[in-house]
Amino acid sequence: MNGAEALRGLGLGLVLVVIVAGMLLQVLARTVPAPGAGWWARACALAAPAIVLAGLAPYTPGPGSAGLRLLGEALMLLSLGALAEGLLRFGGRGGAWGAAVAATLLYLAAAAVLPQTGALPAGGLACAALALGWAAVALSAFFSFSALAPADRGPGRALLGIAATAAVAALAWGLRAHGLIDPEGPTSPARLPQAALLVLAVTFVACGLLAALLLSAVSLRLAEQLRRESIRDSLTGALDRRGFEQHTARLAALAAQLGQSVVVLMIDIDRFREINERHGRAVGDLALKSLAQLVQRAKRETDAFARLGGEEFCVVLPGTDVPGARVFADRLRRSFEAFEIDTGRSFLNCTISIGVAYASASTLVARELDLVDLLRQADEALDEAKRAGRNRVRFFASAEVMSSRLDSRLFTSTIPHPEP
Amino acid sequence: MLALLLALALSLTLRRMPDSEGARLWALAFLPLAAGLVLQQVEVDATLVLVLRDPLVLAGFALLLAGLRQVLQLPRIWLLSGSIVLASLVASFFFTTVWPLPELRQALRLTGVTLLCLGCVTVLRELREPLARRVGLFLQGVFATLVMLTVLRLALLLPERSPFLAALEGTARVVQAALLLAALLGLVLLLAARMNVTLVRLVVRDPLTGVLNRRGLDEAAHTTLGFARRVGRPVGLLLCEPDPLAAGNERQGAAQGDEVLGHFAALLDRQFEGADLAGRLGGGQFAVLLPGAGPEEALQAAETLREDFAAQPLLVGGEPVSLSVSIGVVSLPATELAWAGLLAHADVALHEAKACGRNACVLSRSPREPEALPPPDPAGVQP
Repeated sequence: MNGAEALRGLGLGLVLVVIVAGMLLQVLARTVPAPGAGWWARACALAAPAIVLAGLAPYTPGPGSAGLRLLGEALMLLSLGALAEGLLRFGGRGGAWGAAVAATLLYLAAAAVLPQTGALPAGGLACAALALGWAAVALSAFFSFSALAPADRGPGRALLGIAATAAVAALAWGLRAHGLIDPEGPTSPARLPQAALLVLAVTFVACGLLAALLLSAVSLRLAEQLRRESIRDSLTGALDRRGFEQHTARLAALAAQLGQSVVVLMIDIDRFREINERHGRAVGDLALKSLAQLVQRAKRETDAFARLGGEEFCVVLPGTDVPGARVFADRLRRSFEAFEIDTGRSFLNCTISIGVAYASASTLVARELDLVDLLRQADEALDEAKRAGRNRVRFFASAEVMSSRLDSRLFTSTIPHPEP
Repeated sequence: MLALLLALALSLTLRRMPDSEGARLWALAFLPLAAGLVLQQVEVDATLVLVLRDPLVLAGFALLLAGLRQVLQLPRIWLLSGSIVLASLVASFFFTTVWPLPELRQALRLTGVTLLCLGCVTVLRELREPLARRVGLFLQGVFATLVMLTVLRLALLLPERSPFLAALEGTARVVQAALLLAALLGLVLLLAARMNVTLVRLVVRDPLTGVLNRRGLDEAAHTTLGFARRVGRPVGLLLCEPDPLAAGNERQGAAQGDEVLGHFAALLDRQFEGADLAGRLGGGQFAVLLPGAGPEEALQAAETLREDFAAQPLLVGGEPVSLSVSIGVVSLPATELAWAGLLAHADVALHEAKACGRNACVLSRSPREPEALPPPDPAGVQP
């Protein structure tokens, strides 16, 4: 392809990319609450006619040509300003738009006056202005990057990418401006005839890259927010540690207020590490998921179920007494023991150990025990269950448990620690 | 072609996003697409490469379709995609080595592309979530345009080549590249829209005041009421709405309204803790859920809240303005407990409170006979 054809092809490609990016960003602005996305869509809406006008200008005769070109350049500068404004808004600030409008007016005035005086050729001025515009975009991206919280690494990287891309574009236009202004220099049209083509190609790549990076920035920020807010373990669907702490504190307070007792179960899959090593991680995950499903089916709606660690789970049962707790724990242990996990080569039977702690309504109301104490007691009972041979249930031997008519073989043999 | 290369580099960002099993397929799609399209432009002699040229392009589109099906959690991900790629492999081999007919080969390739894009358009109809529908429409538009484009190129194959048609073909290729870029970005947008849907479901706090929002209240009330029903205890509800500042203050704007709400929310935070739930239902309405509280206790709590709120004036333009709140109170026994019922009764009581002069707490005994207990109003705050 010769130069003119290539130029036209690139120009067409550029317009297409900008239109596509504009539609995309418009949909983004409407779908997701992203500050600044609306401005980016506006930037594309301004850039597309700007490029068309700039492309048409050489073909219209007479003074109309200069007017069209000026209009195109002005629109392009405004578009870059809108881009910068959107980037600043993304980082939580704003205020570039006014400066952008002022700069465009200044440029129009300069473009009308300076070529007459012969100090600067019109083309050089235009390219210089565009270079400055791209530099402004790079600066705003960097500004927003510095405004982000350090935990937001994903959007931070996208913003840095945007800054780098805009900087490269600014450099390209700056070199072109230099070439047009200084006919003797290394970048002048005489020395480098494909300069126009190169600059357009760089802009083309930059626009495409920008569209994708802008989208990435918004998506990655959403992903970070999602990670921060999520309260469930993705593998089992149980609450994770954070969700557990939120939910059960309130649950214990609720039980106390309504005059109910609370039971806490700590559940641990026996020999989990061996299962993982011998049968692989997939089987281990399957065991975890099966246990989670069993507990979800067995528990009531108001009970809390959480995964606290690798293979450690916790169930909080408000409004349950000691016999009820024993029935629940036993049933759970037996049904998991009977459950066969398909490893592909054979069927596997896993077992769980359960440690139980109990606090009556009066103990809760009198604040003698709180949830943290109950968790600790259940943990000790779990250790005892493991020591006593695994696949069994142990109750922490607090005064209330011992005074209930529970089989004493189920008690922990350790004496409860005296309160400090 | 440039666009494709950069899209390939950018598909790496897809790896970073969560819940993106289908997205990995999209990221892979651009590899064969780019390779196939590069090979189209360049003249190569090796037979293997010639045979693989078309199937590579089709494999790219097939991966896009398969990824879409996986993201939308449809069954038989590989059925259409796989069969078309296999058919194209066979056809390409046949028409390149056994019976060389380049036009037929190209026509077959374009048909394959058309079928795959049509597949994408129909698959996108399965996208049901309302928040993601716009993205679905955008993607459908992109793929539909791709279909029309390939049909056009099919039509251009048949008559003899003229320079105009060649230019048109060139333009069509550029447009196709732009559309593929749009498709990739649109798919990333789809993932983002879905994340947004999930996020909206997770956020349980009101951004302005920091107390629970409507969703948080609904969820927490569900657990609380369920438990109270099970153990047979009543639950009380206070529906509060801070009264607007004195009518004489013309400069009352949204910012001041927000300040009043923030003030009230802070008071709620201080006064109700533990098992009691306080949250913002929306607009200016707050709800306080009191598990275990009968009618007298609930009314007492409402009175205390009203008095405490009135006791702290707010500084407006340097002048302290006293605040007041209207509260509708209801308490239902365990047998009648329902979240909607609680809200409805409390709403009626709140209207009573507003009607009889504001700065009041009204207890709802039954839908027909609310019992009003307006306290003495010494300062005559309301006009």
